[in-house]
Amino acid sequence: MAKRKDKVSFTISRFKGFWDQYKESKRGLIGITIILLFGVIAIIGPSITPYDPIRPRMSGYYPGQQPALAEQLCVPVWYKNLPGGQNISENLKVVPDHEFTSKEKFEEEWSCMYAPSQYNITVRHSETGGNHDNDGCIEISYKRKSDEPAPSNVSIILTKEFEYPFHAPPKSIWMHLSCFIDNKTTLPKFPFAMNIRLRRGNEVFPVMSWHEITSDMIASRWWHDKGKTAGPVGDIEEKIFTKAGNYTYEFELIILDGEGEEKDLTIYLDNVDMILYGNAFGLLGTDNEERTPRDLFTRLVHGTRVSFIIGLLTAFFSILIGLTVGLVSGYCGGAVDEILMRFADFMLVLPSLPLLIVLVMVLGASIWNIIAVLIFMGWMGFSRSVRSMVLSLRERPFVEAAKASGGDTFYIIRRHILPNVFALVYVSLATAVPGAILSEASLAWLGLGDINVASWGMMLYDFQQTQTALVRGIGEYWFWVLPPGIAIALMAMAFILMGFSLDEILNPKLRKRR
Amino acid sequence: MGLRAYIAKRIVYMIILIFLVASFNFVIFNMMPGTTLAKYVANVKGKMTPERLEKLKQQFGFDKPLHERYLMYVRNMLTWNFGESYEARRTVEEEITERLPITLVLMGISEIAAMIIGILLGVIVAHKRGSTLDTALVTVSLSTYSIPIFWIGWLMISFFSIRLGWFPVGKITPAWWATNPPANIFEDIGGRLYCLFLPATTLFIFLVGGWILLTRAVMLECITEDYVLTAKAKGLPDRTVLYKHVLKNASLPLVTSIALTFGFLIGGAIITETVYSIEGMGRLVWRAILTTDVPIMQAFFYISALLVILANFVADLIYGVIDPRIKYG
Repeated sequence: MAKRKDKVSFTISRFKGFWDQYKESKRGLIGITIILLFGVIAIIGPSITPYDPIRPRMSGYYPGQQPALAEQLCVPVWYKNLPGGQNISENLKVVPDHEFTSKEKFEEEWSCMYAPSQYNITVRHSETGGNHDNDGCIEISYKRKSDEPAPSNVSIILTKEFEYPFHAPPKSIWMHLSCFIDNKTTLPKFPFAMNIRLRRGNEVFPVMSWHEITSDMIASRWWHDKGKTAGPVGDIEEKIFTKAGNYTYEFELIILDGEGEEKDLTIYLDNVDMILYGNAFGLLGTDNEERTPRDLFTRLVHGTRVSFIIGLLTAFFSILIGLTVGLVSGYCGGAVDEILMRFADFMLVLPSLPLLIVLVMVLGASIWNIIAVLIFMGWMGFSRSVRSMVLSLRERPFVEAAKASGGDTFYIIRRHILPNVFALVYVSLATAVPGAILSEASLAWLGLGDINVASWGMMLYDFQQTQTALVRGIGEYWFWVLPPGIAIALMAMAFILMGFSLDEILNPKLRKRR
Repeated sequence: MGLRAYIAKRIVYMIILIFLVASFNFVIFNMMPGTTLAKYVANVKGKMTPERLEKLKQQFGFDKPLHERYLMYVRNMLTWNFGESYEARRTVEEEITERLPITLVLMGISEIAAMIIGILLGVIVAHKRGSTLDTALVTVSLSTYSIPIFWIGWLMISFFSIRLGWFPVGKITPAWWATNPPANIFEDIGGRLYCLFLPATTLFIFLVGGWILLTRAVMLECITEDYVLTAKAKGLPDRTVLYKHVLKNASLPLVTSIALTFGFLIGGAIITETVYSIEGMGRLVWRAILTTDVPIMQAFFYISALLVILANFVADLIYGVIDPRIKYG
């Protein structure tokens, strides 16, 4: 009886011998390098890409609605280094600290003016107020005693200067603000108006205004609003941001106080933000998802993991099934063999892609269903090769000897047959992976992918959905189409290369004559 | 067992297989969501006369219990009566006869070209194993084999149709036919082939690698045999040795593969036809699956499987012709 230690060292030396042979094959080395590279990306990639691959939103607290990560159909940011790069604009968040958590920052960045000035108006940063976790907000208070004359309009303007460094206008402007009014007196029907403006030098551009804000809308609860301007050429983005330079963001709150009664108002402002969405984003731009355009680089990186999962799981289980069926049917023969092989024949004569599509449609296009269907469709060829090998193995003298010394069927299969077919298992494992990856990509491309999973096939499907491939080709959006396609091809090829090299080593018939 | 008994046995297998496929079709398409007549009727309400509906019901036996419906279905399949498409409201036969030629030409051309060129190249690279040509061709084959077919299609369209403007997209007849119809049969055929050139090339690129690799692999298994050495020693020219001695002995797996491609013949065009938006069988099947158009799906799966079963049967017989050592049985 061999000791455990001997066994281990035997395994190691055998593996070393194998590796020495494998090393000789350039293709095999290339294959395994690519696989390892993808493996690293699959393991650490998703944790170092900061965005969500499916429904990304900008970080930070926005009670109205979380803003999108970027505009649709952005080009890669590094386009700015290419000729024509002056037409590139990136995302710009005008208010860095839109939650007003820091008093110093507020006082440094914002300035305030109000008119008429004779009333009791204070604008200050409140540390404890605020809409989210009471993390700070802007507090504006307005007091007028009943004997003072009503000013009809009190205008309070908060301004913030910022630099717009890009030579091209943004694609769209997104705005957000939250407001809460603490009112201790009676108010007219529409006591407030708000305006958001942008200013460059002496030029003033109105961006958005709210006129009919009733006191009920904001009394005793926070009122959130969000807005987005976007649109065809000639829209305000183009008119305002004609050149790089210093701009001013201006928020105006107008209190309409035309009545004689006493007024005592405190207005809290929070989450005041403006985001200028540029036409460039990330390493590979963004796709055209309607509300949540996604960073294509993030999708690409996440797709690695998905492809690995699909490829490896499918290969493993289909080979496992194929091996079991092949062993049983080859060794047992008779009726079992007939039934199993007829079933395999039956599976083989059905057209595979249509059947895949039908099964996925019936089960529903979730990633696990797709894997299950791929496994179900992937074992037949391998089981036939195993069976034919077992048919010849079981007639060999060593099996007879094992039988004579009283080994039962399971023992003989495990100890004498299985080790002899294992070379085939390794090769088939490697070559089954690309089939699964390609099938998943095809299914996804046809629209049967899991929409909650960022796979490479889904990236290509989304491009297919834009209908531009037939009209304008992929030239304009090469950064969307080429990377996932190349990634699929590379990963599939890496596994095929590995399988190919394994085959050359493990298959005695293919060995070179030395 | 003699040849006759063998053929008899194979025919029995064939019948069992056909029966299995037909039953499978029945089960799976009855399981699919949204295929019951009730749903279908809700869809076409008002679009169909009551008589027509009655006819359909009778044809498919929707008013009968499941087992009777099954018998009816088997009878329909055996008598080549596929019924009417739910969506197009034409008979399945009409739909298929209209589209099948396009797909057959597309798939046929690319399959046959890939097969011939692939096998020839495979023989050559097996002969020159280890040479630069071998390495290059195997690497190219391995990579074309791993590229998604729709992706190749996109690249081809972008470059040849849109960039260079050499080929039309999404048409099966040239645009100039509208004003200038083909004068004779040659122009007719030429025009159609011209339009199918890009999709056929795409399929060819996708398919040829597999044939090269397969031929190379089976050739290598035989090329080291002693009889090859003998043939060489006899002074036979290389070509004779390769094609008469090695390829002939190695061709059994190739025949099997050729038989299996018949299954790919109709269904394999789904993706290519979608990329190039050609209205052939692939698109028909794809749309039928999307709209759960059961009669079309049943007919397609049945015919497709039938083709493979028949091709396998023929292949089994051919084995004996190629390799007289094979004893049927």
